[in-house]
Amino acid sequence: MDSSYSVIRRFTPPTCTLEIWQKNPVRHFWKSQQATEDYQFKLSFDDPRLFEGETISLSGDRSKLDQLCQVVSTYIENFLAQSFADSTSAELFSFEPFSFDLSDIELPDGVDPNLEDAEQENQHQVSQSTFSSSELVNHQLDLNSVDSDADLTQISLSATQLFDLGSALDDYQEAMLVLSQEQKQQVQQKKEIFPFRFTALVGLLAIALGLVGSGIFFRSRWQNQVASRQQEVTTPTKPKVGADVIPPQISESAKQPVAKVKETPSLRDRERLPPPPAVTTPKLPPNIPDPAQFSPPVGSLSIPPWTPLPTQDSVASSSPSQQNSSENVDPNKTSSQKSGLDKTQVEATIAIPPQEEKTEVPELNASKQKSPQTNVVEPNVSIPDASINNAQTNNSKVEIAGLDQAQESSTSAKPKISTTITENSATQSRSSRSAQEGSTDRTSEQNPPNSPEKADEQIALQERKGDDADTKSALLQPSGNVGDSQLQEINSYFRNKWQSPQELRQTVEYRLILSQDGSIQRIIPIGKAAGIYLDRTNIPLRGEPFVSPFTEQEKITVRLLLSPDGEVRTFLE
Amino acid sequence: MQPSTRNNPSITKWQGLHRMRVPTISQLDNIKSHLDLIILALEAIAGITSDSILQAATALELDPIIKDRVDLWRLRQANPLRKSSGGRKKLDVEEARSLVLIICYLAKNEKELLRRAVSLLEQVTEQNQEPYKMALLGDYLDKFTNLYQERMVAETTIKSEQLYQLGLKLLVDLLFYSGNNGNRLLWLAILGQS
Repeated sequence: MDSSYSVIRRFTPPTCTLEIWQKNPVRHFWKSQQATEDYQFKLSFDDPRLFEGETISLSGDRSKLDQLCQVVSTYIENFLAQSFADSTSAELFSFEPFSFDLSDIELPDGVDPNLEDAEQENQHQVSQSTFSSSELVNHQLDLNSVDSDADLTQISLSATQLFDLGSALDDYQEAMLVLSQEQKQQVQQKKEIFPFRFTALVGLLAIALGLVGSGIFFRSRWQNQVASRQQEVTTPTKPKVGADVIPPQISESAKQPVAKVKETPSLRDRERLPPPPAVTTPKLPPNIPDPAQFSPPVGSLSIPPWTPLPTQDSVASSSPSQQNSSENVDPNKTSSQKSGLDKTQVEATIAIPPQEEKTEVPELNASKQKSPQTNVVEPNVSIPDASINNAQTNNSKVEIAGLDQAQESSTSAKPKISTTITENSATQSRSSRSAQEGSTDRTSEQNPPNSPEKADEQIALQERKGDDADTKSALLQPSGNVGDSQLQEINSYFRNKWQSPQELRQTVEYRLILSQDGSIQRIIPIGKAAGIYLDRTNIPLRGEPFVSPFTEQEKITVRLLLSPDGEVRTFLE
Repeated sequence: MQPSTRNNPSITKWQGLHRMRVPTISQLDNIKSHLDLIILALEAIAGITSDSILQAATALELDPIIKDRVDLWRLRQANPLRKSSGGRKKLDVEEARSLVLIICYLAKNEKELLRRAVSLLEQVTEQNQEPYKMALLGDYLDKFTNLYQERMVAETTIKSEQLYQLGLKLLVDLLFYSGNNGNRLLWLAILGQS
């Protein structure tokens, strides 16, 4: 066999080997139509009883193999057909030669229609043979029809060899049939795929051309851009044109919002503030005006401890309508209204000689008890002696001017006046102060209604007024006869009831509005702490009888101050 | 495990053979006799029983044709050589085709045994010895002779030598029927007999 051939199929029954050789299978891969035609075969019988040189082998091309297949298949069919006989005749097993015609049989696909020629030859061979035991196992195949030129024209095979040869040839035919069908399918697939290959190739070429074209385009464009940039760099006037387009640099002021963002932690700190009970510093209520905010600390009080209560009572009694109108008004406004009294009254109050003090106080009290509405301006207990009176007289002129200004302009001038008075009073000698205190003490002793509670009330009033409170306005403060008894009752009530909580560090202040039946009509806490500690002040509930009823006024407004040290101060508003 | 008959190319190839020329009644009689004798040879060499035949019919999906022992018995009783008291069943083409498939199926299953028996026959023939002296062949021939004489009519006086030759011929035929192309060979032999 030529070295260019290679085995593509091999059929190996027990006693023979059939090999199918094909030339250049790679080349025939593209010539699939001819792949099943251009091949060689080699048939060798494996008989261990024979020597190596005596082994029978056949070789040839496809046509020769096909002829061999016909000869063998016909021989086997004839051999098998000899078993039939007329079952009814006595010649059943006579094994007489017989022949049959296959011309009227429709052979299936794969069976060569030219089988009759070979069959006729086989009929001749079968007809000449007689069956015996030796004939059953020894078979003589005439190969003249296969290859007339070859030396080997007849081969002797045993039954098993004939069976194996027939099986190998049958397998070969089936394999070639399957192979030819597969190759036909491959050819059809290639024919179907070829247009797609062509179109795919054309598409790839088009894409490649497109890519190359786009690459060239972008390259030229990039080169143009580079060239223009180089021109920009080299041209000095271009940057000036571009300077208008350049955005301004971020200034330092623009960085301030970043600093605002840092406020977020402080907001978090606000959320972490201590709860209300731990409040130690008074905080002003946002909407409620608090007169105490103007009051200076108690220790820094510079007003001399003289008691102008009788004067206030007289002033209050002299103008009850004003007092009534000022009940529900802001204290500042009330003070301004009070500061707007007649000059004559103020002058009289200041100009009262101290000698009349002792004599007039009982009268004051008497008049106060008799007719509280009568206008009594004369008594002035706050002036101890003449020296002070003189100084006070000198100052009074200034005060009058200030009061005039206050009447004309506004209440903002009051602090100025009061400051002057305070300074003037501070410039007085200590001896005079001591004398004044002594006189005050005497006055307090001589004036039973003006008890120490009354003095505390006055001090609280001055604290409430603070520096803003004028001495004269303090003297004119409405602390008249109306509500005094109620005020005392309230004071005594809270002195018994008020127990300062330990956590309270500041004075709480309330405004109590009393109705005529003596019950609390309304409670107004002043300040945040006052609202918090309202339930601990033991203030009676609204509607409960609290103080003795009064008929002089519809209602009385009392300011109640409760200090952490247990001190209770009340005064009328 | 039952072999697949649908994907077997030889069976597929064989299934187209039944479209060939339809045999006549006389041909069918000979076919019935011959098929019954081949089954008899299988029983003698491999101990094939009725159950094996029914199992093969089920494996080949021929159970609608050969449902049970009665159907199988009636098919085999269609052999005109059989001893029978009643009327014989007419064998149709599908039944003949079913028997062909069953015979080749069983022969293929006993292929090694058949091959060994044929090889033994070749050896004794080459050595000029009597086949029945060999154990395998002797048992086979005894069983075949007994079954034939038991089931076939006695009118046909057949010598023992002729029965031996018939038995050995059917044994070699079974070897060819056990091949992949056995169905086709058997069917062609049946039709060619006519």
